[in-house]
Amino acid sequence: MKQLNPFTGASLDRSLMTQTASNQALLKKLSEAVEKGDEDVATLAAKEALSKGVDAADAIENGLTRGITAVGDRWARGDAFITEVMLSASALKAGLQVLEPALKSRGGVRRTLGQVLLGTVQGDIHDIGKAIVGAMLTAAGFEIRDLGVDIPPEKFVEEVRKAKPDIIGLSSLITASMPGQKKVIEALQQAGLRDRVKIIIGGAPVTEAYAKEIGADAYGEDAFDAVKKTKTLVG
Amino acid sequence: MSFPREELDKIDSASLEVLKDVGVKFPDREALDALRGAGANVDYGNMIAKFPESMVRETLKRVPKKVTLCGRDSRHDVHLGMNEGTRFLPSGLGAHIYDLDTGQRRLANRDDLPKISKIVDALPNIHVLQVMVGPGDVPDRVADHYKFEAAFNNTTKHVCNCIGAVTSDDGAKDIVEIASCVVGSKEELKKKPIFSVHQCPISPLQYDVHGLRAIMEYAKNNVPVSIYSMAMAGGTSPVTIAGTLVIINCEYLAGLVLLETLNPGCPVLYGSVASIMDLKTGVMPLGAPERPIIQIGVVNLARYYGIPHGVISAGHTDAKMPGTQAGFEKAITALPVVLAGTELVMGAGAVDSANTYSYEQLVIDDEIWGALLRIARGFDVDEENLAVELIKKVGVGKHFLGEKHTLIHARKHWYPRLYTRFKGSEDVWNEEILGKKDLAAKARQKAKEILASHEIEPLEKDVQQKIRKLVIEAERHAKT
Repeated sequence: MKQLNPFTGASLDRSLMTQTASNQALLKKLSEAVEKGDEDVATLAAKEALSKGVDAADAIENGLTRGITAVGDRWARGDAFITEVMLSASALKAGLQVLEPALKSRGGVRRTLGQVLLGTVQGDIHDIGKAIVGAMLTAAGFEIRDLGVDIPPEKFVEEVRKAKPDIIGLSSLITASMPGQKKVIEALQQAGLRDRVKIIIGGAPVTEAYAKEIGADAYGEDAFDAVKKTKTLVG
Repeated sequence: MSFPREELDKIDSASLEVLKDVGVKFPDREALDALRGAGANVDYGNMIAKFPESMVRETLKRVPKKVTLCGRDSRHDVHLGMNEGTRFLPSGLGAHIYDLDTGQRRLANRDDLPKISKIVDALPNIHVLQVMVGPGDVPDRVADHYKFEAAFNNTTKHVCNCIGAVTSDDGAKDIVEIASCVVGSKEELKKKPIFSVHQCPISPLQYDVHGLRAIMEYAKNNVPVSIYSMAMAGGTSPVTIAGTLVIINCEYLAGLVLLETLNPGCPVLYGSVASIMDLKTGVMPLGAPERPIIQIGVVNLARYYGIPHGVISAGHTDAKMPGTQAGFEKAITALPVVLAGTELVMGAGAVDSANTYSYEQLVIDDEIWGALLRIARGFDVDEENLAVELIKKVGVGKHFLGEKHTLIHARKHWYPRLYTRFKGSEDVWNEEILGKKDLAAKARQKAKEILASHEIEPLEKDVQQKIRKLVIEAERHAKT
């Protein structure tokens, strides 16, 4: 598979060619901090990068992102623990907290594959499956906003109106809470917002057929599949 | 499974009664003379030595309690008698193998020897090499020479070999010389035994002349010798497990007394490859559930006497090839002996009641052994492991996935490298490594990857040449 930078869609190597040696060392440090899942080092390296004049967009795209992509790839090959991806996602977040304000102050915007709003639907308090999907989507280059568990339909509607996500991911681990996924879709239709977002659903009892039946755009069989399908929704 | 001390006492006194009244046959003049000199009652006509109790008890006081099986690389040393947990080696003395490329069952040949050695060198849960087949395309009398040459060139792990019926004292001398080339000298070999041998008596209660002469020669050179009875309960020993343990114990103790008489202090490991005889088919089933019971009995007897045990056969199967029966039998025969703390377990690579060998099974067994070792490791209870601070931090209803504590301690858990755990359907996990292939196919691929990429520190050129010369010379003698 051809590896593109999920933030820019550009080939990763071309952009590196213009950088100086010291910048490259800093970018490598950022990348490694994220890959090792070290929040503290990611924060420090991000601050150092800014103080030495590294472009914030460059630091994000060729530093932090490289690290998270590397971990995500290892996980997809079966070589990394989910925990490593989660720790890397936390380190990514820590680095972004330093770099994003600098990016915005110069009028820049962080480019991602899209913003995904995640939540476990009302009547279900299972957190972990959704948390895994969130980490994997982060590793794949999406921006994640996780609402938590037992989320009522109206909350999703409110968030779509306010935060304008590209995609909603609805989780349900028990058969009894599956209708909750349908209710979210119905609520969005009633609010006239259904066309503004793509919807992907998942969870142990959920099936492809059920996704079609309730009018979702995609079904993720597991975290790996969820990443693949979410990419097709924005692709 | 417990063997209480009073039961071991009973097996011990029964064994000593049999050794005194029945004795054991040693068809070799030197052996009989040595035993007679040390106090045995020898019947030269029948070549049987009977052992007074005191003779056995005195010997048991003098045997080494610990033995190190050295690797060419000392990081692979295996310490026996120190409760360091289970170490595994492949089963041995096979004639047939499933070809790695064609999958066909065929006679093993000399090309298999370096391949097996290299794969074993690479597998983390197989700690000692035994070249599990003999080459069918060289004269029998130099089969061991070829095996050791391939082994020393292709592993830095300790090398273990079943003597079988073809090697006698002259063959043993050659092998000692070959091994001496690797470590530098015969004297050095005594200090650093980079190989060991195992030999089975011919139950009940007798030794084969060639095997006997070979172990005598090896023992004189301080090469660790494992004596492992291959008694078949109901056939060559009483059908009962207690009676079978008496036969096993007599054969071992008699051999121990002989070798300690010839070379006091030489390492003689207590092993067992015993099983029952299947009285419906007449075969010796190696996947029988009685086997781990017998083997744990032997391990308990060894501990009772304070003798290092080793080369305990377990993790075998009667299935013809890798598959469900193989996995089942290997697991049920190996797990109990691992949990009993057995130190040196032999079974990897064999299928078909050890009549046929399989590269795939060798790789699969490495995977199974890893899981068994994980079970044996158990768990720790201390502040770090109780993780109360972490539980407080995560609180109610959240998860532990994103915690550093999880990452650190997750590495203590066992993760399969061949078995599939992925939940998704085939079209999701469509990459070969992630579960679509069957187990044997994945194992075959792994074996080929090892052969293509695994590197072993080579022996020095002149050592390689010296060994080659010794093998050629022995082969010339074998042909004349």
